[in-house]
Amino acid sequence: MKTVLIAIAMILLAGALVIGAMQLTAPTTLPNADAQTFARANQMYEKGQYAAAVNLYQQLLAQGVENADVYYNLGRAAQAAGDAKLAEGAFAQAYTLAPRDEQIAQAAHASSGMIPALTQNEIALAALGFVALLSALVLTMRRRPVQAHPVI
Amino acid sequence: MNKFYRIALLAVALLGVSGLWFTSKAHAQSPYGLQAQIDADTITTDDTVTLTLTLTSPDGRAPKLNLPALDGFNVINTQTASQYSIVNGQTSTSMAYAYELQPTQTGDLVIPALHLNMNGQDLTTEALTVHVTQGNGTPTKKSNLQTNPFGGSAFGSPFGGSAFNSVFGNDPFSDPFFQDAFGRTASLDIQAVTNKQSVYVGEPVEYTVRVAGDGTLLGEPVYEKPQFKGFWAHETDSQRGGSGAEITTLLFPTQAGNLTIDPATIRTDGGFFSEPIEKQTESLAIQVKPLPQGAPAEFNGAVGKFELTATPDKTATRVGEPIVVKYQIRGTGNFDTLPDPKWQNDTNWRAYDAKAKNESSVQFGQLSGIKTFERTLIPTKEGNFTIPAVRYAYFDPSDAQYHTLEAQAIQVNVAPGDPAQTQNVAPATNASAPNNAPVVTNAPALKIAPAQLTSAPKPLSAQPLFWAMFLVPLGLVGIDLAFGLRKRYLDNNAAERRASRAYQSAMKKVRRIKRDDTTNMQIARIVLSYLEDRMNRSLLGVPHSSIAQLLMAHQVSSDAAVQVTELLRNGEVTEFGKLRLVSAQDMVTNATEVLTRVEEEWAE
Repeated sequence: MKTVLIAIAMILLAGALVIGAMQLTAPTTLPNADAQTFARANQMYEKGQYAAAVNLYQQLLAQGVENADVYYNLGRAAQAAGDAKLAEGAFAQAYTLAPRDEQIAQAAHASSGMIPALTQNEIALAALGFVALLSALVLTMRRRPVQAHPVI
Repeated sequence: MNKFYRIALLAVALLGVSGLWFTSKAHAQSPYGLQAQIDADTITTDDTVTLTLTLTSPDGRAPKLNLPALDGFNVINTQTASQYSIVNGQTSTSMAYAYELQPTQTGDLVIPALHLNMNGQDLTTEALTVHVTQGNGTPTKKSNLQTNPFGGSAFGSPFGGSAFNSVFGNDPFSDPFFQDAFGRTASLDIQAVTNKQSVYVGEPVEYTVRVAGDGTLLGEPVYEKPQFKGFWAHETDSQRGGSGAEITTLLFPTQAGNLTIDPATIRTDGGFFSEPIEKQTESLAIQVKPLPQGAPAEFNGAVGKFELTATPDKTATRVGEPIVVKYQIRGTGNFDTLPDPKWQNDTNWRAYDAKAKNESSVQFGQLSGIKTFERTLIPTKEGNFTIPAVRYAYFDPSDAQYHTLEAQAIQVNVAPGDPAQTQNVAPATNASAPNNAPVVTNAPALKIAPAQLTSAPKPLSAQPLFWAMFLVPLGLVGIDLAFGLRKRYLDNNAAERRASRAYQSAMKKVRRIKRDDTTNMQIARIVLSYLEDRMNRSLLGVPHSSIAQLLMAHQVSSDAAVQVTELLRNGEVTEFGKLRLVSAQDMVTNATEVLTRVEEEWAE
């Protein structure tokens, strides 16, 4: 009974840790000005002013914005402006943030038929959950009652 | 009889074997052959006769044949083709030289015997006679020269008969490909030709690379196309036949001047029995003429031959309800880079240009296709309006003239709309910005700007708090393991455990003791119990003097030992004599002091 309680407690602890860590990955909403900058950059691109669009996207990133869409659009604008290296880097970064976005995966030349890719954060959360559950298993097994062997 | 029969049989066998040997020897001694054939022996002066000379060679070598002047005939066309074959391990190459001869007179015209010396062997054809009668102006037979001299595509030419003939319409004997191919024992050859040497900017040039192997090549030859500097290149499907291939690229010059097409390269890796081979074509020069002056205002660079149509999805609508007009340009030209029409803007509409769809294919050396533009027009006012005609100009190289197409104007009736329903009408697909600004028509779609932009936090791996979370389960396991280890250690060392806990246990008891008549006795018991735990032995009945000695044996000072014995004696006096030599408080104080002193001085 004690063992079962410990197991349940440890599993709950593992879940709590993972949920707590997930809170650390929650995106933050940026001021409206940033969304407007993003929209303006898109307009520049649509008008064929690729270099201007690249500058605006890069401004956002320089402010610390980490957004897959911004990276993707930067990649497209850089591609149109003829900066293949910048485009490649931007697509790769976008793919790191949103590997299951088909548009981004295609741009990053990632093969779509593979196992769905995980973000870095998802891998980190999985690692935390695994360690917590493994710890639970270790603690539970250590408290497993010893069976007395019958003497013949 | 039997003996005679056996000798006769042996003689016949020997004869047979020797006959076979001589036959094969004779055959081996005549590896070359030359034959002459005509496709008709009676023609009119309006007809032509095809003379085909077939030269067979075992090693692929073939000289350049020069047909001597023939009395009564003019050579009006020539062709050549080759056939490579392996029969019973013996390779041979047949070259067919076909000459289209036109008679210049009537009568029995004789094509004399032709002589050729091949590696010291004299080869001779038979003389052939052609009976020529007077014609009436209408040919009675067709020339066979447009077909394969060997008779059909089964000939085995690497490119097949028709493709071969269509490209080699010029004199094959001056063709460097054949001089090169048969001037040595090459097993892989490559040749590049263009169908035009002088074109206008934007006019297609068919660039064909023909590769011929001898069928014994190991592996797939690797083709490296030229860079086509100054051209827009449109690849077409390569054709294969026999052991050769034909790779055609449509080239559209993008600049005027004397352009050069760099050499194309073909290489094979070689194999166990063969060396790697690398062959290059020669550079080809193309003269590109600039487009003539006088281009119409609508001209945007389109070169070719086109038609333009405009089709609206409806001609009656309401304010805010879009009309989609499909403009299609079809014809031949470079559809890969075909410019858009110059659209006209109108204040009565908000116009959205959708991405252009392009469908094209190569047909007969031309890039044919359809380019479709779907314009979404959203009326902003009610009334009867005209979507203006769209004009599209192009340059046609075939007549060296500019032409202007016009898609008809479209009359549209626009009824009043419901403002509530039409305020935010936008084109359904692919349409982008309103047409008062240049529109990117072929750029990939972007991610739409959201109402609120979000930013991902630092990755978890860069957040210390995340790593601290790992310490919780790992710490619990670590603590549990440490306690387990300690427990096991203490279980295995009970005496030590008892000794290590003796002082704390005794002090705890002393602190909690009640002050009454039995205090001194209890203190003595606690101290005695402490000493038993420390020494891991029973002291029941042991005289105090012996206890003192035991203490001193553990480096406890004599003063401390005396204090201990005195304390024990006070306890016994109280227990057995019902007397208290010292007060309970003093007894507690003394016990605390003695226990601490002994614990400090104790040594194993």
